[in-house]
Amino acid sequence: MKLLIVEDEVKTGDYLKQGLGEAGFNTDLARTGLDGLNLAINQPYDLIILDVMLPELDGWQLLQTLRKQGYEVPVLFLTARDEVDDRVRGLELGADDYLIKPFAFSELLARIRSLLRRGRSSQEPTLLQVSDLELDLVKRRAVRMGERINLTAKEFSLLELMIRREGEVLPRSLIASQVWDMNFDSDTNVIEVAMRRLRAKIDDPYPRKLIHTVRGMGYVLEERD
Amino acid sequence: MPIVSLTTRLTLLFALVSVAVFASLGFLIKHSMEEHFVAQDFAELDDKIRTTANLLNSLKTGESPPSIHEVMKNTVVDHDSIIIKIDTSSGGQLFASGPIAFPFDKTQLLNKPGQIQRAAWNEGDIRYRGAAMALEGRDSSRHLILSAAIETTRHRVFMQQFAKELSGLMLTATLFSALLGWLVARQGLAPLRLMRAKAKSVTATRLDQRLPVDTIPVELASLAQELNRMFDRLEESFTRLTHFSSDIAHELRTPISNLMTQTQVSLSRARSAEEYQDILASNVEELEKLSRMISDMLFLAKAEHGLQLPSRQRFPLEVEVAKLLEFYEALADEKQVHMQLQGSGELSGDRLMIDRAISNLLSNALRHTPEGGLVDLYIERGIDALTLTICNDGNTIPAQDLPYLFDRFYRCDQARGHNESEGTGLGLSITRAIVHAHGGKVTVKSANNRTCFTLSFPH
Repeated sequence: MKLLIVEDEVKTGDYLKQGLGEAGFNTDLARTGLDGLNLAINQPYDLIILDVMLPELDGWQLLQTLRKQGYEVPVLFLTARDEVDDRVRGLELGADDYLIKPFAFSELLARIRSLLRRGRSSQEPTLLQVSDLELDLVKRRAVRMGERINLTAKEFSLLELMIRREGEVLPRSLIASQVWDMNFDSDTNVIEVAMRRLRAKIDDPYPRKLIHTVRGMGYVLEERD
Repeated sequence: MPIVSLTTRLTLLFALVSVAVFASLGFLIKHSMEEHFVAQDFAELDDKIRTTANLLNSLKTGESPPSIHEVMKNTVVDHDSIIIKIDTSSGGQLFASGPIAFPFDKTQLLNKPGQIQRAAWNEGDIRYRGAAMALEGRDSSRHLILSAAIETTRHRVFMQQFAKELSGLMLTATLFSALLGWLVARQGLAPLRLMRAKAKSVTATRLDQRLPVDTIPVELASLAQELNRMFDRLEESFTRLTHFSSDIAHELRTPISNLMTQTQVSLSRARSAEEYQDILASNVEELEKLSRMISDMLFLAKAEHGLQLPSRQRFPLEVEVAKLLEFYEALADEKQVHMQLQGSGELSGDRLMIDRAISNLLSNALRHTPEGGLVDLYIERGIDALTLTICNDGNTIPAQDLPYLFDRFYRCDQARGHNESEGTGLGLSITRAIVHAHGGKVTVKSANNRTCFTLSFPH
């Protein structure tokens, strides 16, 4: 997966490149709008991360030029201005998503993965499995080591999200938005409590733990040795 | 149109009024003088005719025409500018002191002897006024016709001269009254200058200055009162803003100093990877808190300038509340707090914002409800508003704190201990800003260990 980062702020650009590189992406970094446009036109990217305020050519202009020339590559905007108008403008010009600075890095990762996944139309599985945990999406049933586990509807949704995104660190804000439709900075205590209760049902009674807390980042479901 | 000063405006108006008054006065004077001249002329003419008639009557006994001519010449004519003509009824002229053609109809005069007829006419450039009368003789063939005329040029010359003088006088009077007007306007507007001087002394550091209300005229007093009220509001906002700025500084200082100390301490010697991880993770938590506070403050700053609703739609409020209750369910369960919702109703507004407003209240309610307590929500459709009330058990909030509850960073206990479970201290302010943006209002009551927040949205 090849990503292009267009960001003029030196530290932000460097950390984004490092962070995304360590997350397994192959990344290029452009410091100005024109450099970004040249790279975007001349190389195939799976996704572009675009800052709004850029020298030479700003994010909006860059995106407009790209779209006019028929480039369909998904674009994720980074904006410091949380003006609603700007968001709408960005999305109208063909941006696929946006993040407001400052943002959590885990949130950025999650958004990038969502965007990259969007294109692929794999047929929906009806049964999800991680290690000895099985989730039947049709019967809405969770089974671990052959034992049926009673989950509330929201607990089931939470578990489903985590299994679908196995191995990805999910920030609390993303969980709140995906499971409870809370699309604003809500009380993150709630996610901690919900996660604790989910763990009490699917992890605590079993020797192998699947849900892990990544401090400062969020939660991840994966098999660890 | 350029803005003209009040004094100039008043002076100009005053001058304008003077011009109008003086001009109409002049016109009236001129008119009445002309009338007077006409009356005077005719009276003189009448008089002349009657005198002449008397004279002729006294002569009637046997005087011959030439002697009439003589007598007339000697007695009547010389004294003034009146021209006299005496004709016989048959058309012969007995006497004429000037060569004028009179416009009188002889037959009409002869029909009514002894009655004076009047006329005014032009002959060339000269305007005449005249009078005529028939005088009865011994028989109808010896009737006489007396005519007299007077030239009016002298009046016109006088009137022109008079008009010139009058307008000069009026101009002077107008200028004088304009000057008076200016003085009066200046004097009358003196209280305004006083107010200006007072207003000048109001600065950011001296916002407590007020305009004098008792010592200025009634018309300005209400303005001064209104301005004073404006000053009150400004002072209040300004004070609040000043507090807010220092609050921001304080609120930001604590987490930043935590971050700095922690980072510096950890850099002071080499540590294990786990320790570094711990420190960084704890830093992230502080930073997240800071970041949330900043975005909350930005939201409120925008709300200060009138929050624009990103979208507006009708939705059932109970569905949104139920969704929020579901979100908070786990937290409530942990504290063994029971939450319940009654009622339903449709609301028009921005769903995300309404969610946020209610979420802040719910989060607050859960934080303050003791274990085993109750959080009660009900939606009511009133006549003119839809209300959502959120009540929770918990310590009664002191009455003196209630009005400030929605202020930013306001915490009932003045000691600003940073409790981990506390939010940014902006939640209630945000709730209020959102409700205001929807044209609604939010109120709070607290008594008997029960606190109720009510959001009411007008239909």
